[in-house]
Amino acid sequence: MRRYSREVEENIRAERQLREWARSGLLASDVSASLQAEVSVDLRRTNDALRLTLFAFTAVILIAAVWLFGELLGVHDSTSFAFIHAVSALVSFGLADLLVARARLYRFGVEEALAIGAIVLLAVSAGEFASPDFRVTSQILFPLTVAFAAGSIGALAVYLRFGYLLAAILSMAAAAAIAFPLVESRVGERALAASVFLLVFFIAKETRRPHGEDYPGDEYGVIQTIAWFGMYLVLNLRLPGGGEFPFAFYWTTYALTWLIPIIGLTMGIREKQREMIQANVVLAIITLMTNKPYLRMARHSWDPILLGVLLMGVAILFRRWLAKGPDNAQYGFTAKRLLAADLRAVQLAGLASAAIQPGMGSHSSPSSPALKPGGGESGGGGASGSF
Amino acid sequence: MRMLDRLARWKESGAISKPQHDAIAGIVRKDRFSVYVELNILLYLGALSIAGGVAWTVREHFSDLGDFAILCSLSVVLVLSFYYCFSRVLPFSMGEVESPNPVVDYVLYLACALFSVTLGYIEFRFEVLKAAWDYYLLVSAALFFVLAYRFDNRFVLSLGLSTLAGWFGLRFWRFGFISPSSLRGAALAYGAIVAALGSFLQSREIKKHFFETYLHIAANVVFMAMLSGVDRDAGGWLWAAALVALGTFAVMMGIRNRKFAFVAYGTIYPYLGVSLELLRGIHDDVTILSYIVVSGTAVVVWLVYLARRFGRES
Repeated sequence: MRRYSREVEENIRAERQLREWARSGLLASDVSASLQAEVSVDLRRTNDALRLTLFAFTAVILIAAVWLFGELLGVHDSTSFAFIHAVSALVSFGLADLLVARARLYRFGVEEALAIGAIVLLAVSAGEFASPDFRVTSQILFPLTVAFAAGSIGALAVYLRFGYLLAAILSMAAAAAIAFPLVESRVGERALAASVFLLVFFIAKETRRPHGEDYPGDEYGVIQTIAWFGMYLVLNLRLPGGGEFPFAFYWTTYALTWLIPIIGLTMGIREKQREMIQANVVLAIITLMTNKPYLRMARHSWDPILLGVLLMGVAILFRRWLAKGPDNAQYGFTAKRLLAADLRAVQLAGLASAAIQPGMGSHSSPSSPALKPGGGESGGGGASGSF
Repeated sequence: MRMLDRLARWKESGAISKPQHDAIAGIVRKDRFSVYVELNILLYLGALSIAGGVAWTVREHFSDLGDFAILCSLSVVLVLSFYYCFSRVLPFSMGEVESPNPVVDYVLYLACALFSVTLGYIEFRFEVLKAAWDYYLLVSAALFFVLAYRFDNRFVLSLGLSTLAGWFGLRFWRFGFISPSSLRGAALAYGAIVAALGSFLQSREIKKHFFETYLHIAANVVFMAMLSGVDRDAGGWLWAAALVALGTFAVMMGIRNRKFAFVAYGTIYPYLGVSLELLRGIHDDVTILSYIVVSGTAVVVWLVYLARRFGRES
């Protein structure tokens, strides 16, 4: 079923790791190069920058081509649009398959955009087939259910065929999203969506177990983590899109917003599963940020200071504790950098931080009242003349 | 084949030595598991949150807290932070110096952000520089650059570069140039100066690893400034032509130096610019969609050629 054999996937991962070990000084460059030759595969690949650009351009072309097709045929009714979208989905999927088979593309951007585009087109087509009034907001519930269901099945097919993680995530998200138009009760929709995520989590966790970080365990690990993350987002009622809920459900979810990160972090640490650790740290921060709204307490301007002190304090204390262990490690965990990729990730964050400037007021001064506080259009973390 | 099995086979065949095998296998088995990135993320988010909270608190409660309390507490935190950083700084080197303690990096970042808050508050309350208060930005940027180089800190460098951008924007405002074209001029001047400064420091071998940060920021600012000039009533073609020229240069340099993000910039921005200019005044859907399909396909073919010829996975 899969377009790429297990051996190919394993060799690609081995090649990446060999390159990373050479960069990290664990292997000499010539040794790494000779071993890379041993595991090299006959597939066309490219770097992330070109891959992303190719993905974006192909996606735009696909959308434009489908609309153009509809315009040229003079189509205006939903059923005809549904037919065009269905045909386009098939053509798009077929093209992706052909490019992989004939051009031997692997994560090249073009074939990925076509395959992901096919999922979206299929979902839209199914929704339009389900109701001629698909675009009428008040009657959208049934078509939406059908669209999500078709999208979920289509995305699963794309994942099974090409192994794109994005497709697996879309499949899971669409399956969970079915609950919202399908179930009338607000409690029921949240509970059903969370159950879908939890089910996927357990399936991925069990399937991953025999493989660990080796292929396909690495893919299952990401799916498992996203499912866990999704379950939390659905159950945290104080995130945007919340509202009023029955007393028991409200306080149960409150308890869960604390329990999920704690349990997840425990699992991540026990299995040394990086994505679970990172995701649950983020969830813990979200829990801290939504705690006061949950308790219906007023937020204060010093809350971010307390949160920041807590985050920095935890990091400093944890680092100190690790440094006290033999060879700067405790139970195998170390604060030291082992791979060059870790440094690159932090450097990238440093570059990206140019877009997020802390402690910035506006660039207005008391003598320029026309400029209101809260701007910062020019960027800059510099002094501001107004608070 | 599992990675551990591969490693064992390579060791047996003599391709890798036993110490190499043991070191790598330890990482693969997760006998040693680094939380370097996670700790850095926590420290960064912590510093960001504290700085944001301090700015918010000072803004909301300056009348309750009073100038003395605010300035004293900010000064104490600043002095302690800078003392902490300078007491742990490694000797300066022109090359890359990786800090053995990431806490220093983020305390420095926090101190710089709080320095901005303090200056802003002083001017807000006491109006020391009055109309020329934007020079605080220039002074802050200069300080951040010095600290970024002294501590080899990319976060502070980014802070310095964006603070400098703020000063440029304000200077043009001060001169009364508040039209979009004058802001475009400011952005172009800023981008040119940042690129020139980065090139100069790189040519002098001063922290060469910072060069890419300068180039990414300069390239995006200049491209966006040029793009904003397209689709104007007059001179749109000139800006589109300038985008194509700069884009060609970015693609060439990106390929030569194997920095493919610049190939992406050099493709996307000129494409958008030329497309905006070509489609100006056209409202026919079929024409617009046909243009996107044809031109987009041409760009994809071009990128596939580049990717196959130069852009291997790295």
